[in-house]
Amino acid sequence: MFGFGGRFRHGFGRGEGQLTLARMQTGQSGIVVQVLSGHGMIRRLGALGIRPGLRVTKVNSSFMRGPIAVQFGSTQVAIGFGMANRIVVEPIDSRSERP
Amino acid sequence: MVTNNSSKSTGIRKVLLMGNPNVGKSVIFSRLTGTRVIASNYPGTTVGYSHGFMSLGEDRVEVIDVPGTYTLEPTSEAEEIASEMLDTGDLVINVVDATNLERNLYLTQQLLERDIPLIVALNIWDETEHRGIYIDLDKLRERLGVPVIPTVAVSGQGIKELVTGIAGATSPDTPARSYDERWAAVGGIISQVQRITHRHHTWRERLGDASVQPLAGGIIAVVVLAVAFLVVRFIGENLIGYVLEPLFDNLWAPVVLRLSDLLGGSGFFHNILIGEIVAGEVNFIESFGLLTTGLFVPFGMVLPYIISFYLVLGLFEDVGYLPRLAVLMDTLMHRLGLHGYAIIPSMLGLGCNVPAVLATRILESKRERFIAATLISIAIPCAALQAMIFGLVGQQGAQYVAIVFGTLFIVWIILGMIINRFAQGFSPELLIEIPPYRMPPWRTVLQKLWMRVNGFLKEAIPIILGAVMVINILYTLGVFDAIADFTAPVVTGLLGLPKEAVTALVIGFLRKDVALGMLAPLGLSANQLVVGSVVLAMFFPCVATFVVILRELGIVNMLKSVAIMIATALLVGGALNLILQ
Ligand SMILES: Nc1nc2c(ncn2[C@@H]2O[C@H](COP(=O)(O)OP(=O)(O)OP(=O)(O)O)[C@@H](O)[C@H]2O)c(=O)[nH]1
Ligand SMILES: [Mg+2]
Repeated sequence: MFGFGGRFRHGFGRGEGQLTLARMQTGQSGIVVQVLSGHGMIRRLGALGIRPGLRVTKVNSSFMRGPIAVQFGSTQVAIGFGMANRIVVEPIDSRSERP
Repeated sequence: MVTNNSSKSTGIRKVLLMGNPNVGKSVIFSRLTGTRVIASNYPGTTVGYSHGFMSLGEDRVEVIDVPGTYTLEPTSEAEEIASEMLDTGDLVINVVDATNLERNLYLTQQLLERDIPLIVALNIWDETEHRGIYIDLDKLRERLGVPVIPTVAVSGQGIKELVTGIAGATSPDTPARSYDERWAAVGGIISQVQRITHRHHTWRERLGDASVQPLAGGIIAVVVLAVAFLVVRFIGENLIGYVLEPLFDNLWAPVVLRLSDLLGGSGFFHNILIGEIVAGEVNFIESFGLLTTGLFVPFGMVLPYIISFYLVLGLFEDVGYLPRLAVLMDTLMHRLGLHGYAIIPSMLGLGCNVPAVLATRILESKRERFIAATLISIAIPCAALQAMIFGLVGQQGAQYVAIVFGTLFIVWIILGMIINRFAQGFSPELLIEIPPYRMPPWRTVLQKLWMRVNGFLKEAIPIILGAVMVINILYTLGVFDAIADFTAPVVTGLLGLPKEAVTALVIGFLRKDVALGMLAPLGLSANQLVVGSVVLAMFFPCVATFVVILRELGIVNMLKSVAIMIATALLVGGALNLILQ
């Protein structure tokens, strides 16, 4: 699992390696870059605090397009797979991160 | 604005409790007003309107528990209600979750822009410390410009200060701003007033995370639900076997026999009060008098299961398991045209269909609400009916109970898939907040249980007694015979039941528990009892459920829903009859 995570991160390159929330690894963190969706959904997500600039950590893995749970601060939110697939994040490489 | 007409009166008549979902508004409401309302650890517990009164100086002030909302721009029906209510109030108590300050302050910003005095209750204050959250209260007060009172609603800490603080509520001049400007303002405040220190995951958080993993969570769900079922059965059966049946048999039966003698052993009043006494023995299930079956069904058969079911449901709600179950069920529920959160009204339906249909308000679209409400009233038997199924069908063997529940479960899924195919509109995706696991204090759990048991005693028992009375009168008048002859082709031909069984379907409109009890004296075979139970569960909602479905769905959709119920009940009942024969 860790080997795959590493390959994944490098495979997408650093810096421009943006991906959607749905495709992040379990336990991986990232900064929300944008929500590729209509005004309504941007507002619904925004109301829960999910908006560009937010740092999220993916909590679960998805099976059969099940919802994605993400953690930010002490909040945990579950997002339907389709919606999560339209939230673009910039992954954070946890190894280069400073506490 | 607050005007001080006299020295004592504040001029406030209506106080609104507003805030994000699941921040403790309902607990604060109960504390302020002494009116108990249901509070649970999931967003969307309160979907309707509850009001109570508190005293403020010399005034009696109305307090409203407004459904939780993340924003005043309504994105769901509950939020629409919330923003409409705002215009009717004189003062807002903005309940804020101290462990989620940033997100909660967005709504606070919107409230500040309105011209209404505001006071902030910084609730769940007790959880901040062990989560490593430090909030500078003075700075927060200064930045918001309104009073901020830290509270712990579950223990009552800070509630007194909140009440005294109401007099100081203000409405600082705040211009209307855009979405981004509000978030910028929130960001500015957070950076000044909140400090979060790093800490390690607690076991509760680990367990919480595991509960939403597909594999680990699935295993947890199966174990938890199986244990819950066994506990409900265990408590229910033992309450019946060791407490209620002995009470009825040893204490109440002699009283009934004495009374029977006094009434002369037969006649109109004897029939209504006691029913039939066979060979000097009281048969509490079959005699159908007000003082025999009329009391035994609610107290001896149903109440024990009401107690055990609501005890377990209350624990599920307060621990915070239901939103996690929603995540796990999401994929399956999409097949039924719903999303995972529909599992919450469905679980409530296992207690009573009335609050379940109301709870469908947490679903966003009309389409989902139609599907959820229809499926609940067809395939989810309430605790009272389940208790009777356990009691009567269970006598024939556990496998027959399994056939009844298995059939209902399959109908739930297949019918959901069919309606999903044909219903207009679309079903949105799941988007919910998952609350942390919490250990509910026993007092809270027992209080909630008492509220629900009390609700059953007050609301169900009069109807049960009324139903038994109506049954006796209709029998005496010969009405049932006429109906039975008329419907015999369907009831006997299609369902394979004796024609008298139709009386149960008629009475099912009043109470399904009593109705199932009416099948007992008919001497049905086990298979006939299975068909009868399934058809009774599906055929038509009881009157209380019928009224909320009508109110929540509107007349056209209610008619559609009822048409689906009747068609499905006859189809499934007929098929079951053929298969079991
Ligand atoms: N630890 C802690 N838990 C609290 C506190 N206040 C409320 N709770 C719990 O938080 C959960 C939510 O409380 P509710 O009163 O139902 O919340 P609500 O704001 O009415 O929620 P909705 O009706 O869904 O909008 C319940 O499980 C409460 O027991 C508090 O001060 N501390
Ligand atoms: Mg509430």
